[in-house]
Amino acid sequence: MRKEPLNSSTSNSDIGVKYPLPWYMAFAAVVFVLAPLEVACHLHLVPLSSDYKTCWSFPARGANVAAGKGIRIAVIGNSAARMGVNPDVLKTFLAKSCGSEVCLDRFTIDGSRVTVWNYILAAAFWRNGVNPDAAVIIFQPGALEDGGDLIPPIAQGLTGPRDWPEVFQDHLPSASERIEFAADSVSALYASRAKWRDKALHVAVPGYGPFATTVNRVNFDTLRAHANSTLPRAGSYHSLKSLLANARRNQTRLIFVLYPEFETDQGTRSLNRDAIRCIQQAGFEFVDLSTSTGLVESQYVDKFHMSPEAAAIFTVKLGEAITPLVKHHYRQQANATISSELPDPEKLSDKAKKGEWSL
Amino acid sequence: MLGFWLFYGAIYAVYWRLSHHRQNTLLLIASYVFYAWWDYRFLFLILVSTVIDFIGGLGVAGVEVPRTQLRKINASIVAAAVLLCTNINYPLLFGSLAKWSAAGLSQALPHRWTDLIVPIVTAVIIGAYGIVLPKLYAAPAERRRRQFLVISMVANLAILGFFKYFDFFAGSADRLLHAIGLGQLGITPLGIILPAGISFYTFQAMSYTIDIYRGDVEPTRSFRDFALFVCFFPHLVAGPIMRAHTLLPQVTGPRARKPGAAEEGLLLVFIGMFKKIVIADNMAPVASAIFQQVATGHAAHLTASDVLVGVYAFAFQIYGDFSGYSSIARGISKWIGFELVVNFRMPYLAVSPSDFWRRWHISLSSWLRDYLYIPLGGNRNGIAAMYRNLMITMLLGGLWHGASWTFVAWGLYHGLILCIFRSAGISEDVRPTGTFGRLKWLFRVTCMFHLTCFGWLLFRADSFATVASMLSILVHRIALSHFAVAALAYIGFHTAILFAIEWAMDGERRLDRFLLAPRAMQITGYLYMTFMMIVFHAERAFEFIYFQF
Repeated sequence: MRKEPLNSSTSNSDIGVKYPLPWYMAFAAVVFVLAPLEVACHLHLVPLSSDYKTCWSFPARGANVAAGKGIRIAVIGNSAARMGVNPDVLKTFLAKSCGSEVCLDRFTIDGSRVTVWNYILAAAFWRNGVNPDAAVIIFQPGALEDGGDLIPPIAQGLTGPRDWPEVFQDHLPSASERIEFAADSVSALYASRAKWRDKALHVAVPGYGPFATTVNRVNFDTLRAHANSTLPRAGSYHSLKSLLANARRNQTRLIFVLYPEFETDQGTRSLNRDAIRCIQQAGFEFVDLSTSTGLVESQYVDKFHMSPEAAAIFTVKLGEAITPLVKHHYRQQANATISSELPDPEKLSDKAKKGEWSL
Repeated sequence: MLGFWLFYGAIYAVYWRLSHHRQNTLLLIASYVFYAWWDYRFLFLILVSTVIDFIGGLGVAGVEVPRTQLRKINASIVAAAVLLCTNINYPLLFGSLAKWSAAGLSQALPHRWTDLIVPIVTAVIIGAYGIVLPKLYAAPAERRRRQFLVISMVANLAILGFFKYFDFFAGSADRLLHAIGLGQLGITPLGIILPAGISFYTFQAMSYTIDIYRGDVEPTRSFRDFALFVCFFPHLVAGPIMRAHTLLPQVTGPRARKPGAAEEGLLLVFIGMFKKIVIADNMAPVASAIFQQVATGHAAHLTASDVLVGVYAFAFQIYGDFSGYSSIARGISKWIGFELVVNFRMPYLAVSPSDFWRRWHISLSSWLRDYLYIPLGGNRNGIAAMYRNLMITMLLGGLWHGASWTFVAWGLYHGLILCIFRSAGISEDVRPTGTFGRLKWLFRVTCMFHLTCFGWLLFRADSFATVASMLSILVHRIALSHFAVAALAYIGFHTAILFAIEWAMDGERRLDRFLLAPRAMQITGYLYMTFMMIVFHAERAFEFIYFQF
C-alpha cells in the first residue's frame, strides 16, 4: 500500500506530543466549576423562579379549592387559559347561574400540554387525596396528542423520582427523551437553561424580545402548516389516556373545553375527533367553544392569546357552557360518589362509542 | 445525540481490551448497527456496494477472489437480501416467537411474492456474475483491469442514480416533455427514501477501485477490513470522504493509543458539539423564519437587511452543522486510534472561489478534483477546455448535494465564479500583513463571503421563485430593520468566540495552539463551551443537514 503522510490531516498526536492539561483534568476542572454553579442554582435561583413557585403553590391552592364552600372548580391549561379565562368573571357568573357559592382557582403553566396537565392535577389534588367538583381543562387543537417536550417545570416542579416510572412508561417513549427528562430533573442548571438564555440574550442582543417573538411565530406557523398538511397520525393519545385513567381512579370530574383559535383546519380537527372519542368513551365531558364565541381576530393579541376584553367574553361563554354540567353535578354530589356518577364506559351509548360528536 | 454517546461509550469500554482483529470485527458490527439505526433495509445497499468494490478492486489488481471466500460472500449477500429486504415484521416475529403464535408468525414472515423480489434479483445477478467472472479473470491484463473498473463504476453510479436521482430526472423529463408539447412519459414517482450517507460511502468505495486502477493503492484481501473501510461509523453518514490510501492502512494496520490523541479528540468533540448545538441549531430558526416567510408569500414587510441576515444565518447554520459533524467524527476517531482528514479550514475567510473550495468540504472538493476535474483534462488542454471542465465538475458537485435544480444552479454558480476569477486573473496571494494588506484582505474576504452567501441562497431556497423573490427584496427594499440588527447581534453572540478560537488554531490544523496554552486558558475555553452547550442549546434540535446527502 502506498506509504504517504496524511496530507490533509495535521494530527499533533502523530508526533507524540504530551499536553500539559490531560483530558481527565480538563473534564474534572469543568465538573469542579459546574458543580458549585449547580448547587447555587439549586439553592438560590430555583426558589426565585416564578415558574417553580407557581408549581410549588399548586398543593396549597388545590387544598384551598378542595376545602372551599359551594361549587369547587379548578381551571387547568396553558397561557391561552391564563390569558383567556378571567377567574373573577367566571366565579361571579357561575355563582349567579348556579345559585351557589363558587370556589375557583386557575392552575396554568405556559406552553403546557396534556402530560403537564396530568401532573398539575396530581400536584394540586390527587397526591393530597382531595378533589374539586370539576376540573375544567382548556385545550387547543393538538394539545391532547402525544408528543411535544416535557418542559422543565414538570421535571423540577411537578414530579419526583417516584413518578418517573409512570412518566417514562406513559409519556416518554424514546431513550433520548427519557435522558433529557432525567437531566432536567436532576440538574437545576440544565432545567433553568431557558431563563439563563433569555436573560443573557436580552442583555446581549438589542431588540431581542420582538426578534425572538417573530422568529418563534414564523417557525411555529411553519411547523403547524407542515403538521396540517400531513396525514393525521392514529392512536397517539397515550398521555391523554393516562390522564383519563388517573382521573377515573381519583374520581375527578373532567370537563374538556376546546379553545377558540384561528386557522384551525380540517387536519387538526380530525385529530381532535380521536381525542374527543377517548374523552367521551372514558365518560368525561367535552365542550366545543372553538367556533361559538363569536370572537374575531382583532380581539386576539396574537393568533392564540386573547385580549382582556375577549377574555371576558370567552369566560362568560365558558360559564354558560359548563353551568349545566357543574350545577347538575353539584346538586347530586352530596350523596353520590363520582365513580357512580361517571358513566361506565361499557354502558355508554353507541353514539359516544363511535365518537359521533359534533365539532 | 445522547443515544449516540451511550452507543459509542459501550464500544469504547471494550475496544482497547481487544486484539486488532477483534477491534475491526467490533467496529464493523458497530458500524452496521449504527447504520441500521436509520433504516435497517439500506444495510443491504452498503453490502452490495462493498461486495462490488471488493471484487472489483481485487479484479483490477489481477487477484482472483478464492472460491470459498466468494461462496461465503455470495451466501452473505443473499442472506442479507432475505433478512433485510423481504418486509419481515421483526417486532411481530419476535413477539410471536415469544408467545409461540403460529398466526403471528405467518403474519410476520413474507407472504406475498413481491416481498421476495430483492432476494430473487440478487440471486440472479450473483448467478450471472458467477458465470461472467471466470471470463473476466481470463481476459488480458489491461482489458481485465478496465472491465472490472467499468463494472464497479457502473454498479455504484447505478445504485446512487436510482436511489438519489430517479424521481428527480423522471419528474424533470416528464415536465419538460409536457412543456414542449410532446405529451408525458407517465412515469409515476417511486417516492424512494434516500438512504442516509449514500453519496459519501459510494464515493469512498469508488475511489478505492479507481486508486487501485491507477496503481496508487494495493487492494486488501480481507473482506472484513474492506467492509470496515466502507462503513466506518464515525464518518459514515456525513463524511469526511476518506481515500483508501489514508484510511485503509489504518484499518489493516495495528492501532495504538498515542500520547495526546485523547486531548485532541476531546477538543475536537467539544468544538464539534458546540458548532452543532450552539451555532447550527440556533441559526436554523432565524434562517428558516426568513426563507419561510418569502416561500409562503408573507414577505411584504421584509427588507433587504432581513433577507441578508436570513442568508447569513443559513451560512453559519450549514457551517456549524457540517463542520461540527466532521469535528466530532475526527474527535471520536482519534479516541479509537484513527485519523480522519481535516474537512474544513475557516471557509468564510477565503479570498477567492478556489480558496473557498480549498477550505470548504475539503474531502469532497479534492475528490472531485482528483477523480473528475483532472481526468476530464483539468487545465491541460487550453483555456476553453479548462472552463468547460470546471463547469462540469461544479455542476456534478452541485448535483451530488441533492436531486434538485436549485442544487444544480448552486453548482453552476460556483463553477461560474471560479471561471470569472480565473479569467480575470484575480490574485489569491492576499495576506493580512501591514495596514494596506489587512484592509485589502478584509475587503476580499467580505466580497467572497457575500459571493458564497449568494450561493447559499440558491442552496437553501426551496424553489427558484423564492430565489427571485429574495433577490427582488434585496434590490428594491434597501433598508435596515430592527429585526436585522437584532439578528446580527444574535449571530455574533453565538459565533464570535468560537471563531476566535478557530482563528487561533488555524481552523483545526493547529490544535496544539490550544492544547499547549496555559491550563487556566484551556479550562476557561472548555468551561465556556460547556456552559454555552448547556444553556444555549436550542429548544428544538435539528438533524444534521448533510445526513440527507
